[in-house]
Amino acid sequence: MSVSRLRTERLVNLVICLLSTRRFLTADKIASTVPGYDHNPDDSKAHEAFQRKFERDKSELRRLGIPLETGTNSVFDAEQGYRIARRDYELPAIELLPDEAAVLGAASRLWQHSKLAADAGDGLWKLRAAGVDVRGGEDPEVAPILTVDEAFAPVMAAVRDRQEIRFDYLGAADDIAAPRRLQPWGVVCYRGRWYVIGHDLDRDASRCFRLSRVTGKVTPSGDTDAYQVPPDVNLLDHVARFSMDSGDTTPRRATVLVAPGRAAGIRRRAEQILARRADGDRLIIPFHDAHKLAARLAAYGPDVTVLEPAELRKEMATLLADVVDRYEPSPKAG
Amino acid sequence: MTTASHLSRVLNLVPYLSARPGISIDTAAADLGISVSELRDDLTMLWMCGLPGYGPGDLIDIAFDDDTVTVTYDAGMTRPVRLLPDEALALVVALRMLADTPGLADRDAVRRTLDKVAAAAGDAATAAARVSVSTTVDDKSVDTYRRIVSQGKAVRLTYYSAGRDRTTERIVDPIRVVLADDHAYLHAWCRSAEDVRRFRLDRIDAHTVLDERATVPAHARDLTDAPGAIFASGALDLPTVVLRVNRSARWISEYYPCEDVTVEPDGRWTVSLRARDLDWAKRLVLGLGTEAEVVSPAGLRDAVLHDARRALAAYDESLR
Repeated sequence: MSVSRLRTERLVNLVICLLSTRRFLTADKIASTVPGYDHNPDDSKAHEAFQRKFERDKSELRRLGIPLETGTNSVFDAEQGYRIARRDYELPAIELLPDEAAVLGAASRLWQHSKLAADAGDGLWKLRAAGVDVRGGEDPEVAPILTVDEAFAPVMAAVRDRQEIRFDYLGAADDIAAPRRLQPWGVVCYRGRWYVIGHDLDRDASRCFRLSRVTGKVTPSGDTDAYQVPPDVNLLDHVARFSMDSGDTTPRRATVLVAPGRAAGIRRRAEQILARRADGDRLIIPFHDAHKLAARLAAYGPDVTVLEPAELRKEMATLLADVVDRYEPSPKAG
Repeated sequence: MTTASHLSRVLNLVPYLSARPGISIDTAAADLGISVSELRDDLTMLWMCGLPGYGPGDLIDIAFDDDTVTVTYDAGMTRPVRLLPDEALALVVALRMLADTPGLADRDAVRRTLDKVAAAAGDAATAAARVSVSTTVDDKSVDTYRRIVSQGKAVRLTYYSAGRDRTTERIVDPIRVVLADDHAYLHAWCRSAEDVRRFRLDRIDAHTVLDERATVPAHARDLTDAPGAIFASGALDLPTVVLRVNRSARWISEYYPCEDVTVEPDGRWTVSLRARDLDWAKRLVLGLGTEAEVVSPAGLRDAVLHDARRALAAYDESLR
């Protein structure tokens, strides 16, 4: 049997032993009880080897979330002992109806990110072990695809632990990434992009950061439970303000001339297509922002010409003239 | 496999089997995602584990033959281990995202599941409450196409392809509706392309449900899982376009899959991306105006200049 299998066997026996005892067991008592730890305690080398092995095993159990309690059975005991409280170890009872189990199975498969997918799978395995039957495997008719940025997992862990984080951030208007210190409050997926909102410690104000613009590692710093999240904070409002929506005002209308059979992307935005003439189709296009519409129409080159309003004709002409200037092979004289 | 994940599997195996007396070995191995022989190794190992004393009445007792497994003594391993904070987070956030998905058939089932899983996860799930989702996806159109998927009928679509700037008709066999990056898509088998395609719902200009069963080749369903797959397939055959973009056009590096982004001393970015074809790239560059400049290929520079000149000719000199 391989070393790692022997180790797993030893750890299973250690867990069963510590779960079955109400008294704290000292390391020596554990060594003489649990198979795999037996050694001659008078041989100092062997005893040190045991102690190292036991330390590694304890941290392995803690990593798996197994709550190892330490304490003594009476005031006369000099040495700390160990036990595992069953109520802290065991997953509470959970029963899911068949439709709920199907939902859980579908949810656990949504993650595209490898660590989150693995975490969801491990969590699902525990719920199955609790008796939940996730069968069928039919995917739902509607499924979101959960893609997250690298920063998502460490930021969420800090949100959970209420712990300060440090990271480098390249804002939309920045040329180089700058270090930031943040007490994160929560995370928002706004129109398909992820943001973290929190208290920026350097600016002493609430700030919003787009996770895709976090460069490099997110590092937790200082104590956990280090701050309170303001109780009345609305995370979505913060992001909405940050990303600056254009309000819903009444649209204006442009008339554009489109070459026959061309510029399908503009045709489908038209409110109305007037009767065809020899030079093409006249389309009525609603718009809010002349500059944005000009950029959209310019994409179609000579297939699209603005007839009115004059403001939009001017925008188009300026944009196209600038492009011609930029690409003209020989610079103009003067 | 690490000791940690192996240990976690083995600790939870006893309660898993106890809850399902007489389960077939094949089913159990499939649930665990391991082979039957790995499962047998785990069971043999568990025979060696049990309560101090380690006599016949103390050790875990599992009866298994060629087909089935039954735990007859669990040595106190009655329940699985609590969820780790990361496990709880991954499950509860996924359920929350599902609950906020527009056009969902059974939102009530998602809410009930979320409540139960969050209760079982305890403290570990509280952070998931600090995740919010806001989407502009149209609830009604998602609902429409969800119903079409469940009808199981083929559909004729009038679809605008932005990549080719064409509106075409085609018959597709719907597979499912998928939401990604704030857009809703119909994944379907496209009969003319003979491949799985995704259709953005806001680009479907019209649809007719046909009186004909949707037939999706079995292998095609597996192709629809990875959202990036559509970009990845054959991307290497596509032409590379290099652009130098101003600050205001940096969004293109987040919007299109870019292969390389370099920051220039003047603050502009040099971005290289794969274009569907040069016609598409020309439309992109003309629309960006002076916010971006083509570095290569030279043919694209020429095409942009040519089109801009001809378009400009339609406007009076006084406007320029």
